[in-house]
Amino acid sequence: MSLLLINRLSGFLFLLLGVFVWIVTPSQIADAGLSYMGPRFFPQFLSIFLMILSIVLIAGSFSKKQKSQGEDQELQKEFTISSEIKVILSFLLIIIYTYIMEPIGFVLSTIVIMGLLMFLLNVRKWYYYVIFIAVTLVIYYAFVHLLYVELP
Amino acid sequence: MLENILLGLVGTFTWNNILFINVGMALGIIFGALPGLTATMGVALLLPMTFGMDAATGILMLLGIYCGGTYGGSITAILINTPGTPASAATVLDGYTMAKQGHAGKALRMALVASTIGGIVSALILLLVAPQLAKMALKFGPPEYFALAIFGLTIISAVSSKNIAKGLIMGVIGMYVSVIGLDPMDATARLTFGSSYLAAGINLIPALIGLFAISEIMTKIRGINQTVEVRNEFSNEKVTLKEVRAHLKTILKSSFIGTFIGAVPGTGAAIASFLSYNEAKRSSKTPEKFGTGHLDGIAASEAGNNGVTGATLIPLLTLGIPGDAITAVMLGALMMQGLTPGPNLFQEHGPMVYTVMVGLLVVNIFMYLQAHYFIKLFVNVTKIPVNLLIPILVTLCVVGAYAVNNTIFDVRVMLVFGLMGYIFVKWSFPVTPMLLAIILGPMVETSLRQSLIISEGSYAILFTRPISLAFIIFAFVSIFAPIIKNKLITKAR
Repeated sequence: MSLLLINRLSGFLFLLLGVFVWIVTPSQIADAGLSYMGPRFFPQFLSIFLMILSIVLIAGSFSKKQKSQGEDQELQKEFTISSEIKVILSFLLIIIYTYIMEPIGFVLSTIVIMGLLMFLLNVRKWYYYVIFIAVTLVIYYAFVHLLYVELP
Repeated sequence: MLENILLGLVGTFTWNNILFINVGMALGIIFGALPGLTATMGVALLLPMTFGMDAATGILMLLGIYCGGTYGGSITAILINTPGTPASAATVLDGYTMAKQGHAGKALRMALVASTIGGIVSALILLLVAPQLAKMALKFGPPEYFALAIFGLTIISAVSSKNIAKGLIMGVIGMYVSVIGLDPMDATARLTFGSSYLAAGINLIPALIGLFAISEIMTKIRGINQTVEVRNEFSNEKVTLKEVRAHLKTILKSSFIGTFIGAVPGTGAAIASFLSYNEAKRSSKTPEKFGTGHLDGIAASEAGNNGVTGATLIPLLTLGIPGDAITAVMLGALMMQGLTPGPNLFQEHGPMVYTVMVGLLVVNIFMYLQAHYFIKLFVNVTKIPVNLLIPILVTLCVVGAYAVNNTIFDVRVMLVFGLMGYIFVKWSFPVTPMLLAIILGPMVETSLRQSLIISEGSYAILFTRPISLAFIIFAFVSIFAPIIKNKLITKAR
């Protein structure tokens, strides 16, 4: 996808967002009585701005000048499922982490999830895993006993 | 004034402060030296460590990370040709070439001397200028604050993206985020979609860890198989006093350039180092030597980027406007400690502010000592494999987000922002304006609504008061200057 195409697409998405916030504002924010300085005023003010800026972005993506400035070059970081697979899997792992952290505790969940993450990242040397477990224990000790942060 | 400075000195030299300045400094240098990890990410990630500390100690530790990180970037720049932080990009030009010729030690030590002098000059200017500016800012009313915040947002949007519309869009998105939760003036729930978690608003810390740390980690995961690097060997060479004296003019000039750039909200260390480098090259008698391993180039770039460190605190402490991403994170840290930056900070927490400002000088001195004696150790940091680093960083992110309120909800908020940051950066939308807008959102909204209430609904109030008008003109200039500049360039062709 070229950058111009991305601008056009994202401009459209942000335009939709602006319209969406404008529409939901009356149902999501109770009116406190003051007509234009109430709690609804600012979100709607922002929505107008977002809509204008999105249209500017979309319009710019059609202009010839931006093309000549090389903005239509193909992005090197292409968005395909195969190149993103590791990122997606890592993300899923961390999401799972947020669900098991409280039931099984910080230390155990960290070692399990991050162990899987390291495997995903092609770590094949066993002592890296040992180092990581040691680091986890140090982090746990430092935060809980030295910095008085509660961890599950 | 002198009395306050003395108070600051006394406040700085406690065992706790000295200890944590040095811990922060070491961690900062390590973060800066790890390829691809920015000082911003270091401050964001290590911020939760300061929750249990008292305000001055916590802030001084973060300043240690900040200065150390800015210097640490030069280690990677010199040794492996990838700037550790964007701020050291100009250091690569001469530093890497010098290291290739076998003078890595000399290059590193010159970078250290230049960084230290840059940092000290900047800290001194901070100490001189900030209190005066704070006095002036006491006269600001809601319209001035609104105009100032808008100026900060437009300039950061203009600087951080080629396409200013994209930067401004990010600003609006950030302000949407700040709207979620209770209305700052009449406490009505807004855009919470019925969630009791959202009613408390989006917490700043998880959001910034997501935007600046998780998204960068994801980018690293994506590129995990592509790391090909050529490493220069470290050689332990000293820089002589004579050499320092020969480059002192460049160092001082670059320090002042850095300080000036840093004091303007929305700029930052990367710009400062390139400007300093170009100025040193322009005014040099031997410009052809630049880029071929010239000490002057390293001195200029490093004095320039560390020259920013103190100056960015000027708008932060006096006006509550962060100058760049890193100070935006520092603003979050101050607010966590219950301190709201702005002119009132000097009135209400005078000794604390002076401790921080004097402490910054001390931070720079420790930076010199630590890096001077332990440079060999720090050099080894660049050898840590990325795939061992990533799980450690993720763990720190999760702990950091969790520690804010002890809820898993904040960890999930962090992940959402991480995903947003990852996609936005990919689509070349800058995330710094978004962070700044999340922070400044409540100030923009409250001051705008207050202004309109004062003026009974007339927007003229923003344009009739001189200071407010000036900031609004600056804001317009920062939006249209790049466009006009582009027009002129195309015309010239």
